[in-house]
Amino acid sequence: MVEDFVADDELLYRCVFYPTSDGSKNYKLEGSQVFASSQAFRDTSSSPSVDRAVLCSYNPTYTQKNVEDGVISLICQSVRLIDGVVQRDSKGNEEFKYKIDVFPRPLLDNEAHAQIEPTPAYRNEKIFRKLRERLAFLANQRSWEILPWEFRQNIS
Amino acid sequence: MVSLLEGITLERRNSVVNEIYERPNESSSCICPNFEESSKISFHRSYLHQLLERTNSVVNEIYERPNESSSSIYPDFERTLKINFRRSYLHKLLESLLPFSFQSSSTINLNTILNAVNWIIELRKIVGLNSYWWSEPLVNASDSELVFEWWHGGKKITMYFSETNAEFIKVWGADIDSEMEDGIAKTNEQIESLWQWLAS
Repeated sequence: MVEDFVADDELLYRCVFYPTSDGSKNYKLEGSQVFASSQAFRDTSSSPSVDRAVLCSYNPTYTQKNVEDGVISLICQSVRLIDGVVQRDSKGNEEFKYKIDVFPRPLLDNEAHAQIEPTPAYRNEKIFRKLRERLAFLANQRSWEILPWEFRQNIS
Repeated sequence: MVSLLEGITLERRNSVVNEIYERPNESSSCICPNFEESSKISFHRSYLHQLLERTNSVVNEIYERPNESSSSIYPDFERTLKINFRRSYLHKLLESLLPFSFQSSSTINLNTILNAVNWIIELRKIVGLNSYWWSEPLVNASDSELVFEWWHGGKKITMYFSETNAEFIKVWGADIDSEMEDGIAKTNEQIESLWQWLAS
């Protein structure tokens, strides 16, 4: 039975494709750290998909589409605490703040599926750009659950 | 005289034009398809020509720069190395960016690539003149835009290039309100100020 609420302390997995469908990469080695790009949270509906670790036995390989893919993670509460996504008018005055939340969105073939969604929907793409930066920043504060393939190769 | 047109130009340009011309998804509703096809090819050719001419002139500009004195005991050898380095850098850059416009699902067009290449050439000149820190960007496509990202010492810059615009997001912490800033970096002063912040 799938829970209809994502708890604050839940771990969320996000797949970082190796490479993406357009041939590019969503991560970079800089110094000794592998950084996930803000583009790793790109989504056509501005609601990035994640998998709930609790519903996939805390196994990040569940989230990989291919064995070469990397997997990063977020804590649900850190996403819900995002309160700086602001809609401003043409003069720069604050109109309202978007509420960012994580909702369970189970699929037929993936009961662990959830989405990071705004309320209300973003008025333009620029707002979503900053959210992506925030999500990538949070993910980069944590260790990779699974490094992209090329870095696994370097380590072994 | 250094020519960027050596090696890739004609061959690459022709293959690029052919690729556009042959693109299967690009169906025509024009009542004069032959005219449309040749206009399209001329259009793309002129942009690629612009792009390559521009890179060529930049290489010449660097090559001719009077302040660039050499302390090497082998000045000709050193100069050749420098030219080859710059040439291969620009070749690599062009070759890495051009495929973004040829993905069947991509809406990245050559104007956007031209804009991004012009921008990064200006940045490379600023970096070279001031000996700033440098690292190759991570390049991605997002809808119709090209996205470049750099990380350095806890700071990050993301650039979004459209046909005519160059927008940045500076990130130095997680707080969107107080640790991120967005804006436009189109002039040399704006580009230099942005890079100074990242490199410092």
